Amino acid sequence: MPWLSSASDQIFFTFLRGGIPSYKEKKIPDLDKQLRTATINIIVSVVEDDGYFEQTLNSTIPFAPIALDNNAHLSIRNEEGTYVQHLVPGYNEVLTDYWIPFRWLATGTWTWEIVARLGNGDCLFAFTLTQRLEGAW
Amino acid sequence: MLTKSAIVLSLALCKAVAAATIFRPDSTNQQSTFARPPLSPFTESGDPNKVPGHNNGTYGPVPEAKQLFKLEYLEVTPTPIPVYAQA
Repeated sequence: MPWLSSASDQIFFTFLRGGIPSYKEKKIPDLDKQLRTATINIIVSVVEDDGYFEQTLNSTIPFAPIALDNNAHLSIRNEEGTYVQHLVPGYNEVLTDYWIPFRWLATGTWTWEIVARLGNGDCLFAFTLTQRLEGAW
Repeated sequence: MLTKSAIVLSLALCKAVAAATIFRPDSTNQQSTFARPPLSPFTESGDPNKVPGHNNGTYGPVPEAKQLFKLEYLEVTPTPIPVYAQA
């Protein structure tokens, strides 16, 4: 089982820090509700070496703490370092940890598209990560 | 020569005292230090579309100007993610 001695037995982390500037927060009606009902859309796709394209995930979940099959977790902290149940006004820290199943991963250029929105649909942040990964599949 | 070393010694002590004064924990000062967001732990690439921090991300598909949330930084650890090489 060669994959057990490689990156597949490693846990990866992301740490996102930021917030809505206060002059913008003041213009959002019912700010607490919009933050409480915020969502994240995650789209994962791959272009394999032979050019084959596949979208493996397109999912919208509440922007809230979650554990996905114990393979991935998301947590949110406020400015004081307290873990919270949803985004709060001011600074937020969003932490994720995840395990990449290299054993079942297709080799190719992988793209993660992350779009976070307030409950009213206005975009909080949107970014795209792209990297080549080599799986055993 | 005794005088000279005495001066050097006292200067050294003065420095030590000054340092101790500057770095002495002070509850009132500490509060204002912690209230300030920490400096970003990275060097900017100069690409305005690059998400700040140790990551290979770019803003989009929604343009950064239309994003409400200011990303101070995004750390992805490790960056780049190690490529699995089949043995």
